[in-house]
Amino acid sequence: MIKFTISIVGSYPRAISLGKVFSRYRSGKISKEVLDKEIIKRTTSFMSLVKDVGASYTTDGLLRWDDLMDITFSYISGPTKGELMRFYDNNFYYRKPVIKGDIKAQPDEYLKSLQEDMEIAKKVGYTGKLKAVLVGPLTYTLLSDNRHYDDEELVFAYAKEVNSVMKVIPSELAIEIHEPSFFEKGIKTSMISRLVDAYSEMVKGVSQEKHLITYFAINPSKLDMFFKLPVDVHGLDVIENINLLAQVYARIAKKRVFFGVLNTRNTKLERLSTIRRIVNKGYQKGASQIIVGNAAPMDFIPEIIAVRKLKLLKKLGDKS
Amino acid sequence: MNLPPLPTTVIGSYPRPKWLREAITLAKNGRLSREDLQEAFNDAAITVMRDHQVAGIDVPTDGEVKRDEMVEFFAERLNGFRFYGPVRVWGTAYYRKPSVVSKIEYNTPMLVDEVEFTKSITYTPYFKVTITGPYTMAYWSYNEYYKDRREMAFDLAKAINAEIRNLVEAGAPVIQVDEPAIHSSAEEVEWAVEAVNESVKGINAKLMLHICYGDYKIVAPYLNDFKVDQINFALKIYNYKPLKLFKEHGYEKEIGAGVIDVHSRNVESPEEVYKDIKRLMEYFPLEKIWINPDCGLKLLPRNIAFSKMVSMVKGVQMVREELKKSGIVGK
Repeated sequence: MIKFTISIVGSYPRAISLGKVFSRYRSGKISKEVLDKEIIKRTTSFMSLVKDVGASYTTDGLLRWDDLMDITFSYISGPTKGELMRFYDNNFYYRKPVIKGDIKAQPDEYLKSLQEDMEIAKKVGYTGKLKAVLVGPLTYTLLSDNRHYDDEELVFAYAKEVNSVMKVIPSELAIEIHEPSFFEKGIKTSMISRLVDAYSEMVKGVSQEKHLITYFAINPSKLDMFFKLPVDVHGLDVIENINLLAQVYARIAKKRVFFGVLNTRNTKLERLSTIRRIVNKGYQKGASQIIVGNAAPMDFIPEIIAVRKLKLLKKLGDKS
Repeated sequence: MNLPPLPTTVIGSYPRPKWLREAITLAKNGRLSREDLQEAFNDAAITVMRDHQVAGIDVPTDGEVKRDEMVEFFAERLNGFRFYGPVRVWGTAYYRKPSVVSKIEYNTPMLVDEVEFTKSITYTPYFKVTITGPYTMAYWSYNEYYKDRREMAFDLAKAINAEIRNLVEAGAPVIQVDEPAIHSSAEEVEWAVEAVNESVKGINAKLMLHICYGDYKIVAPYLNDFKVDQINFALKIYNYKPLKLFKEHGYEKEIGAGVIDVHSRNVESPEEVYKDIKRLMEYFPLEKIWINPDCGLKLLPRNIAFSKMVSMVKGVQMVREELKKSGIVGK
């Protein structure tokens, strides 16, 4: 009987009521303490849900941050927040970091949030592994307004700074690296081919388990390069790329992979039989471990649907 | 249509007066009756129409003050949709993204009341009514029912076509189909154009299409394929760079040029608008140019939205004066 290992990836929908608390804080009507207290309360609820689902790995739901790139301001100093930009082809927007000078690791705020998360996990009795979320160097470069470095330079400068951030992340945590730009069209081959070096520099001397997460597209021509990146778990959005699964299966022998099996860009619930079939086939093809979870951040679906989808994972082991 | 050179229009939405927003909140809390809220909506439409008149807009709208959101409004009225809850667009901004859970079908007129009321309050016979197009409706909805987005968009096109026919019958002289998502996917744009054409098939009115923020390169090769009289674009925000692209693709319909940046609270001066129009005239013949803001003005404070319209019209008037003096157009 297959054991389904579950990992909750990226963000959980920020409820509109929490959004209102952020608005009140930003318009000066409430203090930072009141906002923080509310964030801790909501993160606690999220972790209780994750515990109930039986997830072996989870993030904190990223409720503190407006978007994926917003997290980077808590561990990299130098950039300022720029224009709102569309997050890939979603009706969701992020603030572009504007880079006008050298970037520098400064993880105090980030580490504080991780400490809070660890306390919350302990409080709710979550026994799985918490993941610290970081943005990958390629995605950071492509989603920034870079006016200082050339792009390849920025990939390496960021990787170097993130290496020092990773080294101070508590050792009991895993690290989740988001790299949604990896399979995007139009990226220079030279940049992709140098990414292995950048990743090697980024993870040098870092002992924590590292999960690399990509989402939305898969480009089969880049899969070999993807699996060369030096991480412990390679993550792919399989639910939006079912027709490319054969090419994924061909490359996962003896590897630990994360399969995003819950589509977080559609409200339709997945069939458990489909998820089981995807995972079974992966093991038949020789994967050493297949971890399953939501394919992408959950910002794109209403909270009620996110809950229903996550609860599907709980049922995976019922009748396999 | 008997309009001056460089006709001015708006894209559609306009800030709701503060008192209307308060009336909506009261109604949601059960402290204002449905009839009183309807009266407030009508009064707001009159107010917006008056703002447009004072600013000197040639082809006004009612500001879409009776609609909360451009997809939600129609999804609530067509068969086949349901709502699960709000989703975030950015920061602390949310909208209700609908899910398609069964076949999409036209149910009941959606904008006929709006057209009839606008007709009764307009200061010109040439008012405009806007409707969200089939591709944007499909792209900004979840698909739980259809095999793919294409199938969904074509059913939407049929429903929208039925509505547009009713709008023409109700007396709408200018109809604008809003397709801000049309250039979201290079793989889908070809059939997206067909879906839009299906939605305007057999319509006897002046037809406009609104396309805004995104990668115009995706849609540029297909612009002449749209069966509409005019396409209006956000251009100011891109400092008019797409004009070259449109020219390269031999664009030959009327162009509605966005000369007002609706994402900035900085009010353009009439002189700035004048200079921008002169630049436009280097690319397109005078008789094919209309002037409008980049997009709806809804998200701006009302006083700024109004000032931007005034500047836009004054900038146009400066060009018109010059054209008169040079004898290019009659006095």
